[in-house]
Amino acid sequence: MTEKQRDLRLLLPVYAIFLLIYIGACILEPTFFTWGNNVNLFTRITPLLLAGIAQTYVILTGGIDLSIGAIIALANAIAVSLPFVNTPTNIVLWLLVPAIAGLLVGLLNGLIITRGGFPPLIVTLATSQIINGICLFLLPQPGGKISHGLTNAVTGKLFGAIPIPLIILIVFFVIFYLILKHTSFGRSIYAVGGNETVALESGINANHVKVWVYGISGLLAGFAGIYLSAVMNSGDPLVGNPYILDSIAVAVIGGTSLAGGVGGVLGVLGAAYIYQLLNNILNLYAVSTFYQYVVKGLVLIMALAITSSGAGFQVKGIFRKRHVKE
Amino acid sequence: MEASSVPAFLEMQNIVKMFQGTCAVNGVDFNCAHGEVHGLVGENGAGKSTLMKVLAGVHSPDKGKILIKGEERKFANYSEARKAGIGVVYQELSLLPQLNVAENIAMGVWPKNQLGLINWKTIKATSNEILKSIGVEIDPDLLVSSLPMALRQMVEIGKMLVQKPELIIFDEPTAPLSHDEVQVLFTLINDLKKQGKGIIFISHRLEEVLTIADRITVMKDGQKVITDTTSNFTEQKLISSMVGREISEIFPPKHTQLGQQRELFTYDGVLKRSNSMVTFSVREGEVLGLGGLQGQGQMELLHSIFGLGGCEELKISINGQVTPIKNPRQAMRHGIALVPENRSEEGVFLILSSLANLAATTLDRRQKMLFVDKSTENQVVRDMINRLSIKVTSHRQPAQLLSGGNMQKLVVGKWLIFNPKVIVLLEPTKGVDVATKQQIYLIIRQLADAGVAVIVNTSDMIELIGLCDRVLVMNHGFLTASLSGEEITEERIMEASVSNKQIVSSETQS
Repeated sequence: MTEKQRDLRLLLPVYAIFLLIYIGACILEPTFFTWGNNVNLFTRITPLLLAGIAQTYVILTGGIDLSIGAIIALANAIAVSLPFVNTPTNIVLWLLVPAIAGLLVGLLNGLIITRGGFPPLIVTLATSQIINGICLFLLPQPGGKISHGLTNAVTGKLFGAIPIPLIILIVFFVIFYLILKHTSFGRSIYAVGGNETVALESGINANHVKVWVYGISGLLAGFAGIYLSAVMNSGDPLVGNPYILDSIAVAVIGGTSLAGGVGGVLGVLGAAYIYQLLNNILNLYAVSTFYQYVVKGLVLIMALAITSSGAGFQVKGIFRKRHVKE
Repeated sequence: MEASSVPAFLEMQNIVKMFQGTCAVNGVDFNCAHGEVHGLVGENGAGKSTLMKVLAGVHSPDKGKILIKGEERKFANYSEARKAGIGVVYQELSLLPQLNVAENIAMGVWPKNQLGLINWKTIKATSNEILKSIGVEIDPDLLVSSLPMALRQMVEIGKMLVQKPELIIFDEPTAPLSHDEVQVLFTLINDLKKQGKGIIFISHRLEEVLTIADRITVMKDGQKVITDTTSNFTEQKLISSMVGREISEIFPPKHTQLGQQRELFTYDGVLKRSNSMVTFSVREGEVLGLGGLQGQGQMELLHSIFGLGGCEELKISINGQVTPIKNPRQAMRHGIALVPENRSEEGVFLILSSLANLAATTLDRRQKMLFVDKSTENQVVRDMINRLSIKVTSHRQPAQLLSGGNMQKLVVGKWLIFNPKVIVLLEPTKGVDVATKQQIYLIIRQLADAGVAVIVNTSDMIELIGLCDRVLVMNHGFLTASLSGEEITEERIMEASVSNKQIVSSETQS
């Protein structure tokens, strides 16, 4: 089996499920297949896609990042707290400052994990607690406002036709795909996740790779936070919470093994779409929140069963990891 | 080899390496020249691997010098040793199975194109070129996990050759290979030798070492016994210098009148690995050995006896009664015991006391009302510690502080207290010292004499021959021979281990 065939086996089920749900929705509800609704989907999917890519990078090294949600909230809190007036330079700063904050928190995660040799699960849980505290300090209750400039820059249309969320989605997706598949940093991630000793013996600085992977995760979570701020046009200290576990779910459904070393970002897009489509459909039919959670959970388990049956080793990988943890 | 005016490529002098007070390597001299194959043999735990790890920069020696081309060198890690021209082909291959062949070979070195992205074409070309130079063609896009063992090893060799080493260590390279594959490897080793590389060849199969090596060094208990040119050795001489004494002194006498004993244990099931029926039985008081190359399905077979899966339609009968065994609890209820292969992972509770370890299998037998009767437990454990002469400071000492041999005694001891009818031992003497080995052999024989059916799996040929009353050989999930008495010879066992033709679906009791 070549690498491409393996990747195909991982990806086919994800996109098959996506198509199934999408076509099903279009048949049941003709308004679903409208340009407006599709643009709406792009807009909604972007933060989950960013968080999913972030989580995928971390999981590929064999780690996990529970601070993604907190960093999203931090970026959001910073964005609404920045005392800037609406000028083009300030818009750039609005985009950069929260993202850099995210990057720094991520790097800090990576440093604590590698220097201390602590388990990523606990370290990122701890930093997310600290950040949650800082968020509440910056923004004790939901509120605040984002400048119109930022909102327009993020949610508007380029040349009046192409939705900017779509562009953001494609740009991030392509960049982070290229990094993973075609740079030595990306390949080092697979080596470290596959077998750290072998990576070390091949002259790869495993700790360096890990620190930057958590850094990238923080940076992407920062961008997701800015994006959400622009779309919501306000701040909410709890905005990141759903992304903690959703990002893990999206990464795993997208074909990345929790044991590390296998997977990639190609499946994340499909997985994020499955997630968002479900929300969209359930809302279209005004299903009550209780049932929404139940349906989402059931579909998640189904998707996981189908995607992992496409690759026997992945299931094994997940079990092995659990075995080790217990 | 001529004694030289030019220094040999590698010269190791008086190497000493201690691990927690025990001497793994004790004052060993070793050398290897360009264009030479130097065989290194010794029992498990003789110090071969430690000596090679010192050379490869994994361990740093406590005493002694390593000279490369007459110059003293100190390796702080493997990459320094690699830069000095030392390449290692490890027994457990250092490949990433989820990546493709080309990337494994190029691991750590990624050529870039003008855009700064990885140039996959160059990587694939290098992979093709290096694999061609060792006489194999493997699609560089294939995942390593999809290759058979023999080809994986070729990839491993290719990965090592990319570094252009001058000295290559082969650490038991033939263990997973079939007879034909070994021949391919030997051709390759001879080619490398002709190119002027120095080669150190470690193997448990003495016949192979005698074929390929120019000189042979024998190690025992961390020390060098002898180094001599191959023509001065015979298989007998190798064995006696490895073991240090005649086989008859190490092993207790075998059972003489087995034919009259009744069959205590019979096994009948379809092994998942080969999807074939496997049948065998063990008589009361018999020590049955299970041999063959590593990873031929022995573990699956023996694990299934203890209810750990690996076999379908399993029918196990004890004393003629069919007993369902689906998990270890059921197995234990019917008097079956298993001494696992990896004692630190499956055999002992590392952080618990010796007492807790020894008592673990029989807690419910000493239960009074709701609680365990501590005074009986203390007595039982003390008796066992004395009986096996386990070296502990107190029975409260945690298992992880004990040496390998004493840890193994804990595992054996907890099953002795359990008083099994059938005991399965997987590699019972792996990584234990010679004195403990002898003691374990004695215990095994005592168990058998007391009427227990004993099944031993071991990769140590001498152990199979010296210890077992009867030997079954497993090959690709089939039982290919049942040897008893005088038939148990290295030749017969190897023949059944590697032959492709005489695979029979089941063993029949003679």
